[in-house]
Amino acid sequence: MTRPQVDWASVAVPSLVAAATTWFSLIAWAGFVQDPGEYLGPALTAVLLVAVAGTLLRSVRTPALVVLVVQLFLLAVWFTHRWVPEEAAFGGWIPTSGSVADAAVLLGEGALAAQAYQAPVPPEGAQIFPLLVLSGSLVAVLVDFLACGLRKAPVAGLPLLAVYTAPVSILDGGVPWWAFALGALGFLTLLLTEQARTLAHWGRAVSRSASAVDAGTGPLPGLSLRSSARRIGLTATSLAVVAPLVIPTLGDSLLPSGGPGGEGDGSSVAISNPMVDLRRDLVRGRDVDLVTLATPDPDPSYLRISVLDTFNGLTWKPSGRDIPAEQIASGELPDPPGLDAEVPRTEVDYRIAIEDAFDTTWLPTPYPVTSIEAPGDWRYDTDTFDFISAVEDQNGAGLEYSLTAFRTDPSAEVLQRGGAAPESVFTPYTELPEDLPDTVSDLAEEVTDGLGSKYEKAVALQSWFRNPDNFEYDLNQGPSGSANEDLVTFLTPGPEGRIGYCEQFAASMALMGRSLGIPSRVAVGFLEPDRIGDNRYVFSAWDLHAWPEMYFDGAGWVRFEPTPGTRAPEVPAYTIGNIDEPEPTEGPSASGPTQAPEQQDPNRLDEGEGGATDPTAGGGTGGTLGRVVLVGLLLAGLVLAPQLLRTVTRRRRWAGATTARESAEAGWDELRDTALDLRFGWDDTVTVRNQARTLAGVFGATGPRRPDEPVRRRSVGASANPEAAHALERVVRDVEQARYSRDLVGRVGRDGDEVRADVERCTEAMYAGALKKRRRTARWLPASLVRGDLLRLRPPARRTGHVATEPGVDRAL
Amino acid sequence: MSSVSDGVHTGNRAESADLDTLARVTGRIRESIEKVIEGKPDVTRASLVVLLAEGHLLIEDVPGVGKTMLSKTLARSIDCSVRRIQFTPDLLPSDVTGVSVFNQDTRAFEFRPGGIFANIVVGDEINRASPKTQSALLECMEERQVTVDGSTYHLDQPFMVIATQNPIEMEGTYALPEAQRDRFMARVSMGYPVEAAEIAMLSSHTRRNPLEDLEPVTDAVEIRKLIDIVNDVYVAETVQRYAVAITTATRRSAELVLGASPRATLHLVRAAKASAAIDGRDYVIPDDVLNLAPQVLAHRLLPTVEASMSGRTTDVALGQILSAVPMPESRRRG
Repeated sequence: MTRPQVDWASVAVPSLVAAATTWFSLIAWAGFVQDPGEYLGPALTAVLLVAVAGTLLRSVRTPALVVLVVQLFLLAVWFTHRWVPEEAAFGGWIPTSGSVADAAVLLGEGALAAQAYQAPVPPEGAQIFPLLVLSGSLVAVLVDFLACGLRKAPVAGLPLLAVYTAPVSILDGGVPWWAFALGALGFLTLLLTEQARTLAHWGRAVSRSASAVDAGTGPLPGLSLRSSARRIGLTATSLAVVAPLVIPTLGDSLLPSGGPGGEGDGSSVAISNPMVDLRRDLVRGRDVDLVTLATPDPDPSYLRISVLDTFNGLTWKPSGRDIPAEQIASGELPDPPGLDAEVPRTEVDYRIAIEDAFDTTWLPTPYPVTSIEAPGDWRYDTDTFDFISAVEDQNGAGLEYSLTAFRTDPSAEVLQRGGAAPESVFTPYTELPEDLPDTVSDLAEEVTDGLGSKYEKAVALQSWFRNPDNFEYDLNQGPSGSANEDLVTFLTPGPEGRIGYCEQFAASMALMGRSLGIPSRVAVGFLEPDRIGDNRYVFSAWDLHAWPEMYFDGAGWVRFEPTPGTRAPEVPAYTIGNIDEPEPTEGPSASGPTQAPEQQDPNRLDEGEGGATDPTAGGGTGGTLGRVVLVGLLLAGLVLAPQLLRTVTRRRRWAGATTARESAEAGWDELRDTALDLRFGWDDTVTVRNQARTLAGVFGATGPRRPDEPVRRRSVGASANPEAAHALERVVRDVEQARYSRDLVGRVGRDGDEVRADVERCTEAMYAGALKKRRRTARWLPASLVRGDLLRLRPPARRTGHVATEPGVDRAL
Repeated sequence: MSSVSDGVHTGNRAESADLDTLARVTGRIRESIEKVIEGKPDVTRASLVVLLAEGHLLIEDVPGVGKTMLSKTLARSIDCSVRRIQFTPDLLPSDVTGVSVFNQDTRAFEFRPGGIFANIVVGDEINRASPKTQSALLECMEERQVTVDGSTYHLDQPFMVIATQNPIEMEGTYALPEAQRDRFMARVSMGYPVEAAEIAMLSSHTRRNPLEDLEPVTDAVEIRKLIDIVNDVYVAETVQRYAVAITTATRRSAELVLGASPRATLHLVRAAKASAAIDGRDYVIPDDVLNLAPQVLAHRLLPTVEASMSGRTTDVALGQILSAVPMPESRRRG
């Protein structure tokens, strides 16, 4: 307060609140990096820089645009000093063309790091920090400009929201609730500051009627408006915060999004690296429909998206594919590799539609496809038979295409006697990284010890993985990837070991297969659809799955299912053929076809038990129905909330009135709220009697219509309902007595129930006197709720002995 | 008060009996007055309020609307001393206050009381007297005593002056100075009677003077009691603040060159108390203040030249002020 002519508080407080809000919002980005302090620290400096500069400049009434420019310049200077090599900038501080170029390079590296690393970015990706800090600082400048410069605090919510959308759409778990709450709190404070300031310019208090405004003469008190501002501001903002807390939410994603197939509002699924994206989509808070399918196929399971044919020690991924233009997804396809003509095949037609929410550069198809018609430039690979976008920005979202595929049913015999794979298949598909831990091959040997054919070994591996004594399916407890160390953890018995989900099962089995010389790869796609109608199915995000495919000459690539029965109940028919399935724990047993059902049994049982833990459980039509019901309930809740709140207000009001005085005031409040609900208007500045007279003027008859009454319109006014008019007189007398009579202990007013009965008579009469439309609005959207009294926001009426020095000021005293 | 009537309050205070008495007596007086003055309940009530609030009443209107009749009727309804002074330009102050005359027999000066020595004094056409005489009267009104030749004579209680005057634009009048008008608690205008009341008047007043049939319905002693009851009426702090807010607003109005005095505030609250008691309440509500404000305040206010040039009377200005001054926050907590 060194310079009294400047109202520092009014200048500094919004700036600081804006800065704090921005910084709180930036906490939401903490999930991007492993060490959030690295960007939050500098970001704090940046937002403070913006706030201090803004405060100083605005305190001398600098135009908003100039403030903006200066803030940006200061940021540039600070950024240059902080991040750009000293020799590039002038004096280490002032940006030069060289330093700008350096900064551009720096930011480019940051962008690269953002693409290269998966969140959370490890310390090696530290180049990302300048990018984060700069983005955060720019948001801070924007928020400061909007909220403090232009005084449009609500608009400042947009950049803040943008800050939140990034982690919500990228990170697995979205934003922790407290991070959002902090930002929201800051934003509310910002709004409140803004509203209090704006409202002071509005003029009359909220409830002044139009006539009173016209009759007004002298200047009106600004003080009383402050309380209105507080009331409106706090009510609105509190409702905004509290309402979402009461409304049931779906899953743990912070920002609720629209229904299935939402319009890019966080409910979309993007698949670019199938294996990496897999878990994220499986654990996402809510399911999203991704692909719908129309086919006569009774069991359209295992819809492939992509084939991962190389393993680099970190993950399985699709190898680089060089696809010639003639392999466009339009027309007939060649025979799949390795499949003999004698293997029985059934052709089935499919019509597939990719939902808008599914952002994919691969086309989901069954295997193998014989012919396809897909709009756009999609090409297929002759080895893997997966379909990939050949154009940079082409996306499968919203695409519809039809195809014919066949279901093969190779018998166990075909697989058993399958010859050696051709060199072109064998070499690439048995390649293993040099640093592959020995655990993989050792275990593979151990499990398949003593078995002759590759087919038997494959089946043994599958059985080993699926044996509930060996492995447990759990989406959350196991490793989160399929890198070397993840697989070692997964394969080694122990507290953390032998637990995982399809990614580890598929990756391990494929690698073990390769170590045994069986050409293997991993397919990513959908497991099992929900039936939504005759020959119609839908695959959703929770149906995403990975499984190994192995090559047997004669049968081609066939899939196996190592994932336990809790997740994938069925195994391919050819893996339960008439050969021995050696179980390490059980030892060899008699061979024969009768063995098969028993072998199958554990899996079948798992199906029943696993149903409850299966993330897709409750899916299908039941799930859709559940969603519909939930959304319906939500809507119903929203629709009913105002009148429920109104009823609660009324109940609490009456329950809180114990003395005659409180009853009278409660009754008067109730009348006022009803008048506001019915949009009759209410003027707190006139006397109780005058208000009551206005009120009685809208009374309508409540009794049944008399036979002689004209049908068209019933009259309103005190004479229309003398009973209610008398009730109102009694209430008025109670209120006056409560307010103005001597405060004597001995004075006993009317019983609360009597007052209530009178008030109810009056409210009925008011409803009867209102137009039908008004009545409806009053019931469904009671206007009285937007007043602050509900939240008891008015300060207690502890008045000082100060006497009015200006007309009308006492209202605000 | 079409829908909200002032029913008799049924509080359980000891005063409720007093309030009943008050209501009964005022009811009788009102009936009595209405036998003579038809169709003027507002004016009747105002005169009762002023009587019980120990004030003085100024009745202002054109000739022939019943000003004198009203004052005489009120005076006649109460069994107390009544004097009537007809003010003329040649009326002397001593005619009002009284004069000391030398008594030849006792060889001493003895005081002959003037017209002011009565419970109710009807000052007819007060603005026809010279300012000197007017001020003599107004002094007595305020002080409730007369000082002649060094001796002070107290006036009886109740003491009420009912003055009538023609509007100042009539010829041959001396307008009352503002400072002196301030001493009247209220000013009322009779106004022309409504048609029905005028017809009723023709039938009742043409046969014989109804005033002559009028019997007193109460006496000075009872009126004194009633005044005591009125003094006991409670005025909540919020109502006091409201009254102050109104008078303060008149002082700040751009339309008025002279606002209401603190005495006006006092008169306003006292009148409100009387009004509340007449309505059977032992507490004042803001409506009492609001409804009485025009009668109590309007004659004390002086419009600015601009306002009067453009035809905006003090009544209009006051009406605006009254609608703009909000009720004090009156809710009690706890």
